[in-house]
Amino acid sequence: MKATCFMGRNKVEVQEVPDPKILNASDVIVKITSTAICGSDLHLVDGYIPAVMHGDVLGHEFMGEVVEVGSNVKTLKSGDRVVVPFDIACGVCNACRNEMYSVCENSNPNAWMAASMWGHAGAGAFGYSHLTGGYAGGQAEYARVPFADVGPMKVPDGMTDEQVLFLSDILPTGYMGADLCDIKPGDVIAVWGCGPVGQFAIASAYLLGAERVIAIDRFEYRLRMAREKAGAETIDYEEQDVLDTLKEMTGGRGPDACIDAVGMEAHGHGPMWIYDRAMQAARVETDRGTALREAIMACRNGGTVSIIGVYGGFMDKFPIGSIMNRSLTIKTGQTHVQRYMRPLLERIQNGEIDPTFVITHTLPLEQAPHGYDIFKNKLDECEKVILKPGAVSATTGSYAHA
Amino acid sequence: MPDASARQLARALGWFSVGIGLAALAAPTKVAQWVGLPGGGSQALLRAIGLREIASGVGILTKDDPSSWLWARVGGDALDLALLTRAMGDEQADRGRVAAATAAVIGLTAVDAYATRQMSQDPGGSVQDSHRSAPQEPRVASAITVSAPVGEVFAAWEGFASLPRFMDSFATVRVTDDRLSHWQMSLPGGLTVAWDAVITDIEPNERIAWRTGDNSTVSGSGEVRFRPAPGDRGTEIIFSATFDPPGGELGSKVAGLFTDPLGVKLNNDLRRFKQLTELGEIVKSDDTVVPGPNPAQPVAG
Ligand SMILES: NC(=O)c1ccc[n+]([C@@H]2O[C@H](COP(=O)([O-])OP(=O)(O)OC[C@H]3O[C@@H](n4cnc5c(N)ncnc54)[C@H](O)[C@@H]3O)[C@@H](O)[C@H]2O)c1
Ligand SMILES: [Zn+2]
Ligand SMILES: [Zn+2]
Repeated sequence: MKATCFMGRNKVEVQEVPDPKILNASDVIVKITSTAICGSDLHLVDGYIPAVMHGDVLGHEFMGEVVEVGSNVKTLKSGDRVVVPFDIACGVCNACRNEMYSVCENSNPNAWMAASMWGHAGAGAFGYSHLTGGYAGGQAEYARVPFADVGPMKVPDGMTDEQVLFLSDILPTGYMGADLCDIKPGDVIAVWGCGPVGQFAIASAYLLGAERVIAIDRFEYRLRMAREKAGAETIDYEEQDVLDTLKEMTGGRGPDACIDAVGMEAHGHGPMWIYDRAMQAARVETDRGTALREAIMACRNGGTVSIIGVYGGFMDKFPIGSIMNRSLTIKTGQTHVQRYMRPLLERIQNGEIDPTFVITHTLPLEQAPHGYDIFKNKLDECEKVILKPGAVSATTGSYAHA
Repeated sequence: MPDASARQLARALGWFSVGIGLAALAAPTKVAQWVGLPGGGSQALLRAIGLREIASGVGILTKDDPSSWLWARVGGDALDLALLTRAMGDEQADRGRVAAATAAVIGLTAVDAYATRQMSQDPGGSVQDSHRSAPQEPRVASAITVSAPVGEVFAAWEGFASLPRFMDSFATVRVTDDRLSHWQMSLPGGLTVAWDAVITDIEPNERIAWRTGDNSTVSGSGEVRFRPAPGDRGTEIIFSATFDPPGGELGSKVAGLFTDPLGVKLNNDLRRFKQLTELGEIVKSDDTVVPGPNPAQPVAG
């Protein structure tokens, strides 16, 4: 089959690889009809997550048709159309029973590696380095999906791939980002980052009752999407001082909750930004902190900082004093996708949210390298790229612009 | 060609990084004294260096192409050198020690650069399955919580009869009868240690104790404890073993190696027991079927 492979730092290629096989009795094989490129993939490709190996198959946001079923699978059969959560969870361990699927105790066979970095290990994930288990990813024609009765969700008839694909990751992620803020009537929420995750965090904050949402980024087309499609007020951090502007916008209090939808490759200005780049290059720290530090400093006394942007290791100059002295609460996590998938499917069906608004590019799988390029470098007003395996012949060399 | 020795060197540097890193984090004052830096102000820096060391160590150990993280070590060394040079000019610094530390760092920089060059020539070399040859503490232990009642977990353990189904990372086990089993452990450098484990005591639902028998290259004893986890979370299993190094080179080598890496391996096996008990099978990923890069590797050509 064809698959998108990591071939070295900043090098992604679509290669011919062996088809996946059933390895455990609870596995299914899915023939992928749609898959997407995520900001998390950029952290891998840019070389900030250790334990990615040359040839590893990338991708953790995918859906498709079940074509092969393990002997112990009870709820799925060949021909079922499913969307698959990026985190792999067994469904029976203590973590899973508490709906903390992204820290499943059984799904990461390389738990020792993760534990040596983080003290304890999290769950396995598709296409996300050997730290999270060494599972091949889903930017491919087929994928093996373990724990088929726990993760994959059947797609109701009549819904398009585009409507449900993002239930695999970014819609639940944005939603969890807002859910962790424990939003009360009248709350003002600020969101750092207007990538696809940030857009869904904004929309979800409104769904959960926020009075106002303020979004921060520097790309005008992303800020425009946040205003026009998600309904946020926006700050361009290249034009305005974020802390001052937020104080002014909130009567000096600061936002009631701040969501970091940027992560470890945050961009910025000034001495702290140069410092972070240098420290990260020398591996004194693995995570750049410009966005997170600002989110912490901006938050109102007693407020919540919700971190859904991904961090991998260590950050320098972490403003712990601001957190402690002002009674802030920090909440974070890889998304417990299985917890949010079904309720969010209902919200899509009820017309409360239409996640297709973030899609700007639909490309054949073969053009994944181009997709990575425009998504990473913010070319052609790219917000979110969907890849379609098997769609090559008619569209080679071009891509649809939604 | 990064032959086995280049890879071994990279591995050693990886563990060295982790070790130094942990030391700088846990005891910055000691490390500062050791390298001759004045106390106080240098602690934060040493902590930062510690974090960098851990990150690059883990990077070296877990990446199939450790060279980029090895370069990070070289970069790090340069930083350390700059620091130490500054410290030389510092009034309070103990010049002798700083000079010695500087010499050591220069030496390390050379070794790092050498290893990096060797590894860079073929980035394919894997440095997984690494072991640290570390301080002497010949006790190895690991613990896990299995979400099933003690009676069930104790029964699933079956004395030692179940061990061959999940023990293969720490040691391979062959069970001869309900009291006797034969254990074999491979250590780095092609060393093999083997021992017979004789069960000396069984307290149902609580404890299985054993000691090594006559046909053993090491002598020691161990126990597996079972106890209910608080909050209805199932059963805690604590596996521990203590080995008496019989003296001589082999003995001390063995003792030196019975530390964290073996604990990690033991933990791998306990995780597999947990999977068997909770799920009925051992979870596989592409990585466990063919260690290293995904088997879904690009087909050659
Ligand atoms: N928690 C989870 O389970 C989970 C799941 C999916 C994605 N993520 C993470 O969410 C983050 C965002 O993902 P995405 O797909 O939207 O990525 P993206 O790269 O498209 O979006 C990041 C955005 O942040 C902006 N940005 C950079 N520095 C900033 C700063 N200092 N202030 C404000 N904005 C800044 C960028 O311009 C960009 O628009 C990533 O870190 C990704 O790994 C987490
Ligand atoms: Zn994602
Ligand atoms: Zn689980």
